[in-house]
Amino acid sequence: MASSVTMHKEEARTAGWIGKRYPRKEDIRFITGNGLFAADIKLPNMAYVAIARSPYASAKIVRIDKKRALAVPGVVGIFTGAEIVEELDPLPNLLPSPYDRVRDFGIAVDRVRYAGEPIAVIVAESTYAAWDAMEQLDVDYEELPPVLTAMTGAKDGSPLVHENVPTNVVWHRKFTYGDLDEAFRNAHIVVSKKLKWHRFTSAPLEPNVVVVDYDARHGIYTVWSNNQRPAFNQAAVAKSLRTQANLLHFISPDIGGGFGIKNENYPYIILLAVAARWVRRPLRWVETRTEHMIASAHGSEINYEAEMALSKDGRILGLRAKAFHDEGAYMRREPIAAFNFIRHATMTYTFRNLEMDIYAIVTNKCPVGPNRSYGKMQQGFLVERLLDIGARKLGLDPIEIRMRNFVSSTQMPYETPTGAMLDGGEYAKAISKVAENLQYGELIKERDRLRKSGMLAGVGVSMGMDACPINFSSNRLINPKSTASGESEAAWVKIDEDGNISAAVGTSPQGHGHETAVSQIVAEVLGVSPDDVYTLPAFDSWTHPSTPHSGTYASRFAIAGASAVNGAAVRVREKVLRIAAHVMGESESNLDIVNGVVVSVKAKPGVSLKEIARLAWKDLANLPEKEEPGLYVNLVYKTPFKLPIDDQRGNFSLTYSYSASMVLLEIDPGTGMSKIRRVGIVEDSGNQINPMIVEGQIHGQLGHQLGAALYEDLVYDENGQLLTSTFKDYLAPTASDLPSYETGSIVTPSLFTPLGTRGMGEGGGAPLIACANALDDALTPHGMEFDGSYLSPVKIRNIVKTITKK
Amino acid sequence: MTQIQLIVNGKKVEGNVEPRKLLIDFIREDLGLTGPHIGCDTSNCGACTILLNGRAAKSCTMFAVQADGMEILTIEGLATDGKLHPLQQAFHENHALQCGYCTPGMIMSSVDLLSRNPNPTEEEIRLGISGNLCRCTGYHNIVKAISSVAKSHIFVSPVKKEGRD
Repeated sequence: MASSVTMHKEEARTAGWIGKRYPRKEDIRFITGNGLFAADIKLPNMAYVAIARSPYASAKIVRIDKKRALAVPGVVGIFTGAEIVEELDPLPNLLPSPYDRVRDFGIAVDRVRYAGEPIAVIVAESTYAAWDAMEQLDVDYEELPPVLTAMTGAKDGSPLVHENVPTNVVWHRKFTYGDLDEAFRNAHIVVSKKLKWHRFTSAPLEPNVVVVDYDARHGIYTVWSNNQRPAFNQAAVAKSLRTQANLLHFISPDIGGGFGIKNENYPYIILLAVAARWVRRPLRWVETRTEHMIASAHGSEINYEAEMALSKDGRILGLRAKAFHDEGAYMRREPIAAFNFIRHATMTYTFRNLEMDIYAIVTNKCPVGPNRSYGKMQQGFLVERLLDIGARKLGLDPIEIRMRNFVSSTQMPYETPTGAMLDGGEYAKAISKVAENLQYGELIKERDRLRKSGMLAGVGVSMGMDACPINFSSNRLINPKSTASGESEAAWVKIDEDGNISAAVGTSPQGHGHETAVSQIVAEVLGVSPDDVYTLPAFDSWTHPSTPHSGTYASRFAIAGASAVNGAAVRVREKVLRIAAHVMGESESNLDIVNGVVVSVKAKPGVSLKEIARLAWKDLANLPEKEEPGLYVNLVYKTPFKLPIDDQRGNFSLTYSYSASMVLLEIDPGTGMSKIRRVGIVEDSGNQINPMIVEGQIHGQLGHQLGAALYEDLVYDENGQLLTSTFKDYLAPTASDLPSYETGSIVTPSLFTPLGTRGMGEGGGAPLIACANALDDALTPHGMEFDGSYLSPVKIRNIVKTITKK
Repeated sequence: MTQIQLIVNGKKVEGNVEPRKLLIDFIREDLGLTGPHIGCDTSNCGACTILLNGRAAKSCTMFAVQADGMEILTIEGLATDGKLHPLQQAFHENHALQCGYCTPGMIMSSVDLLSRNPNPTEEEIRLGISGNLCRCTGYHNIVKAISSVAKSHIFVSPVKKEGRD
């Protein structure tokens, strides 16, 4: 198996900066209130935007009358969808026919398809005036019956979300690997279960923001936004605006959290660009929290009908599942969440027989988009829940049944039935370590004590996998016409004529600490301190290098970003050493850079980087004859990906971080409130550039996933109105709702990346799934099974009532 | 329009505001102090937290005119003589921030917490900052940072005189 993959021989240098818990360079501006977020941008003559939105889930727009709204003091202009789209080409989407008939502009023209869909752009002298005008905008709608669940939308005779697409099932594919009939014939038991993955969102604390200034002299749009992959989205925005990407100057300043959601604010960039060009003034739009909740992008929502075949000794023989995805109204990135099962479909396990029958169904709800652990935690949920139920039915310990199914470290690299090439890891060690850290035996005793005291209590374990980054050739399995493959990232490293070192990368971080991590990598390679390296903050398309894949998404920094920076720094180093060898009359192989000075093993006097830099830029006659001037390398790193193996297999990620999590959950039957008494996680993301940052990312996964399991739910009513549209009803957990975390890590370097790093940050959902397993463990003694990914206090109260009635 | 006068970060400021203007908008747009942020419209997230007459307040929950004659401290005024406040230092040392958006409000709430309770338990810390949401850190390192300041008794109240609440 190893022969079919590229193995990197290049090894990290070991000056000691990579792997250090180096305090973050970016902190100082944030703790003093000097961060620069998009909503802080204020330009001369700026006007302010409010977006008028549909109150209905599904309706025809009969008439928009602007007269009263235009009379509101301070109004500059009001532009309806019908007016704006005259200037636009539709947004791109991935799907083939018949969905490709949908003309999606990010604003409704004559029909609205979810409550919150934009219908008009209002420009005024202040945000207050814009909102005043919005209240006076007269819109007549003709309501239509909405489609509100995947299951009803898939039925014959259902109302259509898009009238020109003859079915709401806009994508359906069955992926089959191995021999399912054989697997189920040989099964000792079959676990059959309907499971529900609930809709939630990572809800970054900073809502979406777009500022656009149009420069008519050059036809250039300068865009400040908190888009988390501006270089990636630039092409789509340019195409829609009927201009060229190089005439868009995209800036993402500090971003207040992204988590995938902020990939999806580009339609607003387009709307503001048109309006800014029309009113010839810079415009600013700041989304409210309510707008964010109803209309940004939601995480996926899935109904599974699944069965797992198991042998008597607990080996997984096969898994068969139908997955019905409620995609919301528009397919912008979708059906990627539905398709992403393929990245690590069999998780950390050895089973070879798998069938996934996937249905992507449009509904009259907020569109689904990328959301931390996008489509990955969902597959983990499916496998881990069924395996856990299997363990219970077979009378096996949940840890033991996983041990019996793990891919072992001696099998690495291991090719899974879907063609994923697992890049190393010690899965058994991870679950053993989390069990040891939380003293599993004692935890079970504690659970039993809680049960005796009248509480509902459960212990849950789960594995998680974070496959990253994206091999874009995977799109060919969704649409054979897609021509993309692989992915890349760009970086430059420069030593200027005074010896100052700078670096930049196209990853546009959102709290990930790239300024620190990049500085550590460059410092390591160039033999200086991270304090000697200035890494450009944020992202600016006119100063930062980028490729069409740039950005921070799919946990890709430690693979693509780090490799690009490392590669550029290595080339600068090589040039420094070539020049130094020439000056010192020494062989390059005898030279090293220590504390900013090129030194020889022969203990001759060294030459400082500063002196080499002076030579390279200013004393050109003294350079070696064939050497170009300067110390400046711009490098594009190609993540080593291949085309798909066939129409349903391929290695669509390069690294596979994994984790094992364990929780002890207590539920008060009186109030229905749950409390996490203990939670632990052990993750392996390979070599760590900065373990402090890695640990912080794991804390963040825990916060998001425990919140999703116990508090956060996007609930629609029967009319398609989102009931949980503010932080009053959408219960993002507070510090009081969450425990302290018992984290740990193990390090097995990735076999496939230059630095041995794996992508991490999104996580694979292990804590959320462990909670679901713990809820099941809490309910089964009462003869009930848990079938969801979230259990609200209200539902718990209802369950308790049922139990007490028995 | 209504005339207001306040002391903001030790300096006297005047404003001419619509009565309906929220205090956070006055601070951010009129005074140009963009440290305090807006993360919600229901006073849940606490990103806009400032000290008002020495006590933590959510500046999105009141009108600018209601702050007339009062004294405000924002995150921008917390460091003194170019030296970080111990809580700012502790947030940095304990990696208690990632994207930094909640941080100004979170630090101001922590100031209020330690002013009222210099030796809080972990539970009291968690409760004390439960009016502030963070979506990046899962709170673990924020609790650690506040606790480290309390345990080493280096907290100094930035409020010169007694709060008038």
